[in-house]
Amino acid sequence: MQISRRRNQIECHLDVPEKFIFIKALRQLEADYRIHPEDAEEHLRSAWYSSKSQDEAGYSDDEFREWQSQLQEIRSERLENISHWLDRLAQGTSDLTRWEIADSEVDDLISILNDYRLLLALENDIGEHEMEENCFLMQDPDRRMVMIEIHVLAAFMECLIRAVEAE
Amino acid sequence: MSAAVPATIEKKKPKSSQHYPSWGVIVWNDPINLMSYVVRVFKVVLGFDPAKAKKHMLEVHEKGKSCVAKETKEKAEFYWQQLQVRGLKVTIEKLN
Repeated sequence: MQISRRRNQIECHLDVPEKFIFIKALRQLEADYRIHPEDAEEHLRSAWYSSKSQDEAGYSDDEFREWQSQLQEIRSERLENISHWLDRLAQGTSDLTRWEIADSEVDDLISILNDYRLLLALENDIGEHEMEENCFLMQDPDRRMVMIEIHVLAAFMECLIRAVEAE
Repeated sequence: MSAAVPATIEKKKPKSSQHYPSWGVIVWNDPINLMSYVVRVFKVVLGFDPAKAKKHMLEVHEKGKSCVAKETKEKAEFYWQQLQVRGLKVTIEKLN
C-alpha cells in the first residue's frame, strides 16, 4: 500500500490482497447502510445505533426510533461514494491498482473503513485482548483473517489521515 | 482505543430547541477506534486544533472517557449525532 497526496487528491496504490479486502468492505457496507436500524442484526445495531443516552436525553421510544433513522439516513448518504469507488476499482486491471480520491472524499472514506472495522469486531467478538495479539499466531483461520482485515484497514486509514493532513 | 473542518455536512434537524441547561458530550474509550482516527474526528466535527484534539483523545484512552463539549442541548445533540455517525462511542448527559 502506497498513499501520497498530489494537489487536492490522494493517490493510492493497492496490491491485490489489499484491494480484495477493500472491495469486500465496500460491498458489505453497500448492503448494510441500506438496512433500517429496526431490521438490523444485533451486532450492527450495537456498532452503529447504540441506545446509550436515550434515557438521559429524555427521548421517548418513538423519538429514539426517529433518531436512529436519522443516523441511518446520514450513513446512507455515503452510498453514492461507495458505488463510485467500486466502479473505479473495477477498472483496475493490473496487480497493483492505482486509485485516486479527492481530499473532500477522504473523511467519508475513513469513516466507512472505520464502520466496517467496528462491524467486524462486534460480529466476531473482538476486544482489546485480540487487538493486542499477534494475529498471525491465531489458531483459528477465520478469526485470523478477520484480524488481518481489521489491521489492514487500520493501516489504510492511518495512511489516508497522514496524507490528507500533510501540508 | 487502538494505536478530522467545522462540521460541514449535516443538515439533519436537531430534535430539541431547548437552550438551557447545559449538556456534556462524552466520548468513551473503545479498543477498535484508532487514536489517529479519533483525533481526526475531533478536528473535523468539533473544530479542535491538533493539540486539543490529541489531549482529549489521550484522556479517552487513559481515563476511559472525555467530556469534549459542554453545550446547549440542541448543540450537544448535534455533536452526539456527528460523532456517533463516525463510529465513536458517545453519550450526552445533563450537567447539574
